[in-house]
Amino acid sequence: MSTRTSTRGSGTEIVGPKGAYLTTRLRTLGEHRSLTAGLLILAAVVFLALAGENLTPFDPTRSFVSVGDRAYSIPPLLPPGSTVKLEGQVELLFVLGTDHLGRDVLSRIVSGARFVLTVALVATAISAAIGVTLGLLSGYLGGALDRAVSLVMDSMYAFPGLVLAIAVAALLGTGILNMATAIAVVYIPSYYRMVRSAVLSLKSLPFVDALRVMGMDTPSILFRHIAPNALYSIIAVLPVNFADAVITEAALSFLGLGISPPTPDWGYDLNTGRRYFLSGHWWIGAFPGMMIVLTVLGFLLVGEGLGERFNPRRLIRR
Amino acid sequence: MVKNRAISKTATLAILVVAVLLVVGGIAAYYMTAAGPQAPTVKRIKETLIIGTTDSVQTTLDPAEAYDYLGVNIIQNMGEGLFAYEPSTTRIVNRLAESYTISSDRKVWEIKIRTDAKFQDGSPLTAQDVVWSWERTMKLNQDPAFLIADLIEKAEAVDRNTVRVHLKEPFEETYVKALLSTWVAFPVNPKTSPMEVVKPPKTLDMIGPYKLQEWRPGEHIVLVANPNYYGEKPKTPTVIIRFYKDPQSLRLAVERGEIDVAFRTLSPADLKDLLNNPKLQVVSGPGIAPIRYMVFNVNKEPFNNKLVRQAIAYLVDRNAIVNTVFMGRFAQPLYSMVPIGFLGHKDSFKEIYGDRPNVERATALLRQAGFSETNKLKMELWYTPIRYTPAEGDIAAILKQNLEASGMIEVELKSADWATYRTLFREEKIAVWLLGWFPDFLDPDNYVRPFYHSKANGWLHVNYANPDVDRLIDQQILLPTNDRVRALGMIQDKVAEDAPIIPLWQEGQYAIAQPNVKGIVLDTSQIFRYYLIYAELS
Amino acid sequence: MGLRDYVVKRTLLMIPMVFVLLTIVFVLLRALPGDPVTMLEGKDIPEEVLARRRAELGLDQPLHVQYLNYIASVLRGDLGYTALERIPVAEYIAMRLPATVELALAASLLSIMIGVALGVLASFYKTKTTLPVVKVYSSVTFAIPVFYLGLVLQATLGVGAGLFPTGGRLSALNEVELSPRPTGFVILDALLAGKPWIVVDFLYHLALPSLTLGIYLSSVFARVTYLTLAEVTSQDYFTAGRSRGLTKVMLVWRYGVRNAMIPLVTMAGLQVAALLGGAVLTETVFNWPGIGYLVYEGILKRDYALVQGAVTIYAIIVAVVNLVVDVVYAYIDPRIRY
Repeated sequence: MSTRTSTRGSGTEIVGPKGAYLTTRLRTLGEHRSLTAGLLILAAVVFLALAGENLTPFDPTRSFVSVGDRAYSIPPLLPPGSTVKLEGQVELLFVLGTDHLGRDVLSRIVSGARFVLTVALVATAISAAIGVTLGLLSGYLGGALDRAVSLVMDSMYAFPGLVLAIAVAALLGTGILNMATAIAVVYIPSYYRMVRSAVLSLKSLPFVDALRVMGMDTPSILFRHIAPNALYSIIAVLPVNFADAVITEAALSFLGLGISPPTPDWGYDLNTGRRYFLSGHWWIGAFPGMMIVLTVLGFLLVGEGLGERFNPRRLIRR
Repeated sequence: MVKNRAISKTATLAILVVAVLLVVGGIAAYYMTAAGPQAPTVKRIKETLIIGTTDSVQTTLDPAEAYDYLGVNIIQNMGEGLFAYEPSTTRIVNRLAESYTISSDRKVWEIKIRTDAKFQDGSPLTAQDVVWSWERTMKLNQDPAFLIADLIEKAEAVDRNTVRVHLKEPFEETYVKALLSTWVAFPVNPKTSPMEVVKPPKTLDMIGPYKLQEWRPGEHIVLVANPNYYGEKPKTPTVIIRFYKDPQSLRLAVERGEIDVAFRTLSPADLKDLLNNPKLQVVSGPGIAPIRYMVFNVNKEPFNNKLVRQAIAYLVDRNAIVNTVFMGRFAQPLYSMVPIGFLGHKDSFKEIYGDRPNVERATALLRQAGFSETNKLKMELWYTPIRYTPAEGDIAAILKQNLEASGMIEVELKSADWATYRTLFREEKIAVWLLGWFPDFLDPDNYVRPFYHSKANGWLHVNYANPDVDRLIDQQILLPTNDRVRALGMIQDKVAEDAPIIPLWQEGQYAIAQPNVKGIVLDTSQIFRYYLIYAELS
Repeated sequence: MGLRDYVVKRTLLMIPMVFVLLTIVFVLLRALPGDPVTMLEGKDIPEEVLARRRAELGLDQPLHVQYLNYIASVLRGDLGYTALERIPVAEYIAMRLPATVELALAASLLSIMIGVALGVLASFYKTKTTLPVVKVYSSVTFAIPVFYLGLVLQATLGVGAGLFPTGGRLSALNEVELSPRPTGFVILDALLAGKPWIVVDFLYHLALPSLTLGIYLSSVFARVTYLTLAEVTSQDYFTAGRSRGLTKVMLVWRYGVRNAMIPLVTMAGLQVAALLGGAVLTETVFNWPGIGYLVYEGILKRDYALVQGAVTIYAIIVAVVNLVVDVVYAYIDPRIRY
């Protein structure tokens, strides 16, 4: 019996034809595992983002609670699990504690999801749109345009992304769109590169010549035939870049370049938490930090799973 | 195969031994080098004192130009003027001035200079040096120059040790001495001082307990005792001022004993923690640097309407800010632009608006001004996140809540970094913003004139002009003390009623030090005198 | 083409890249509202004072003139004066750059060591779950924001266990003892000054920041190493070698690690950008006196000269490192030289 080896996936060494089937099974299961896990996490986070406001027990931007027509101010720096008794048998529970201004940490985390995901989504959309378009044009048309744009893109790609994002964020200021633009600038080169290299390998394939011979004009060839195939190459990268965008957003807010308070944001709360960490109030920063990690993990896992399925090399060799 | 194993075993053992040695040696070296110099234990006092701060020198160490807290403070330790504040009091005493007489019209002062004072290079101080230094400051005309440029009409050296000063107006005695004790009036050595601003990492030759040994921008400044100083030698021969980037690093440094003193600025939460730490001492003092306030550009709608401003004055909850952000003990609510502890301070805002938010009165005023629950006043409240406290955003959030509690105001919070912020209010693009004020000199005049006098408050762009107030401000510096206090009281009442500026709070000064450190004095002068501090070795 | 031609070609390509970067940064920064001059703390600054300072910084010229002046001065090596500290930018950067380089080198070294070690270990104890475990490690270390990781390490190993100092590059006394600094690099300066014990203090201060950055960057190396080794160990020649009595270690070294070097080196090159970016955050958390934090501070305070200077240096470093990586790559794998 010949030894089957697997060059990707779980790398399991199996012996025998029966083993061969098992290898394939395990490989797809492996992909599925990460993909499923990732999707589950993401679903939870997205759910929080969408339904967030209705789920939060308290207003994440207010440090007082209105019961009836009286306003009670919430004590700051309550540890997780604290309860506060108001008059008239009303008892408030702060599952994850309150922050330094008396706002409920749980509510802030849940609401933060919406902001963070929105910024990351818009940023990814912008950078993908610009990067892909440029990559398509540059790769297909070639020549001086290609060389010039590649030069600019390579320069930007080599450059520390965070520093670039800081510069643009400082220029534009606070707000969802501004932050998203600042982050988007960082990722344009990676989409550009991938699409361009996919286009380069695609355009030398015989079917392109065939289309040209048939009289199809360049824009149609480019957008109706090459583009969809080229897009496969970025599918696996999209979630990873999304994850990166979340981290960059957190970093920008951490440095104070992001949102304007009192909008809840994980990175910003992490920065606040840092100030209170040493005095023992760990929950203010710890929970937002965990949310960042969780969300990013979710996207990474999805990206992994997709990566296995949508590997461009496998597709073309099909 | 066996050979390979044997070699690797020896190699592993060797590596282990080296590693252990390195670690042990390292720990020893670390504690040795971190704990202080290997000075013989004969000396009772530490040779070198390390002070940590989050401030940095934002301008230069040239007294004609320095205008930030740390720069000025270091100059205060390297130089001296004719007069100075006596530590722990608010009295101004003679330093380089031996005596003085004032003419009957109060416009001419004759000041006798000490004969034993010498510059760092050994040359004795003369009256000509004093006059030259003042002329230099006024010629270079940098930011703080106005402190003496607005005071002195002409100065001349009558003889080697007498300076005759012709004032622009017959100013009150304490006022004149206060201005002459500011750093811009410090004599500098004409032989070595150029007629241009001296840039980092250099400074000028002045007369003082310390001189500058080294300045690595962004890292540290090293001061050493000035052997040619006529006065008392500093308690600690060498002082290192180490810069930290944020309050957490500073706190960690003092907690772990990496520095002897931490001064400016720890966050209130950390301060509260450290107060409970038996291994450190906390020294506190009256704080006026900075005072914090909210400004309206009274040319802008609807803040041109006094009723709106007054309504907001009724709504702000100073206690909420003090109790949450400052943990209830590291700041005080401020009810006048003249800080607590100053001559003539009056809690005018408290007298008119109370010390608790009064939502009923506020809504009544807003209604009068034409606003209601359905026709809300929509406004932006601006703040700048880094310059003052790291909790600026939180403070703005509290104020937003305060104002929206009326049900008739909608506040949008906006922020910008300092450079943009300044541009925004200078170009009158914003209507309501938060600001802070560090005193130039310690006199109540420095807390009313720059804000309320129509000829002096142009920098603030508050656009407030009240001729009665102008008149009172002009008068008060010329009056004898009791009358002056009355005049100041009237000014504070008037401006509280007009409310173009709403004072909010003033913060205390706090220094955290190792238990063996003595001599820290935190007084109203806000000068942190390194030359008084020393650390005892057991 | 030969190796030498390749090196020449890549070096020439570096220059336009740097210029493009400079232009991008120049455009970005000139469009900002506010300028360094309004940073001053004075109140009623007369216009002539403001104008004087602007002239000092060359901000009163038309835009294209400013651009040309800037490029010219960069070629001369003159990067202007900082508005913050009023010293020449080149000097200021030269003062702070060595710290970032030290951190970067230490972090890179650590990340490769950690990553490779993990990859090798994992390939030895290869089971069904090792790949997912490696992937998990890789993902988790990528997902944790580097500043979060730094804070955690600072709190646990620094404050909690008291094993390492929590900030700075040297203790305050040692900083002073080392001045003047001929080279700017602590190890060299300490040895030159005849005070070798300072090196130990330095290493203690370096431990946490470089560990933070190192763990953060190791994610990629762990995965790459593991995958390459996994592939190698499943090849026929590997089993053949084992059957001939060669130890796993030797085989892994001879076939696995050397094959893994190519992707590792590529990764290392690509990681420079991530490294420099991560340095900004790490330097903030650990009060490490490097360039990263300067960039951030400079942008906030609108210090054009400083930011442009720092970015120029970044660009050059990145370009040079890429060049080195490509050359090394070409040296290892002759197929690459096209």
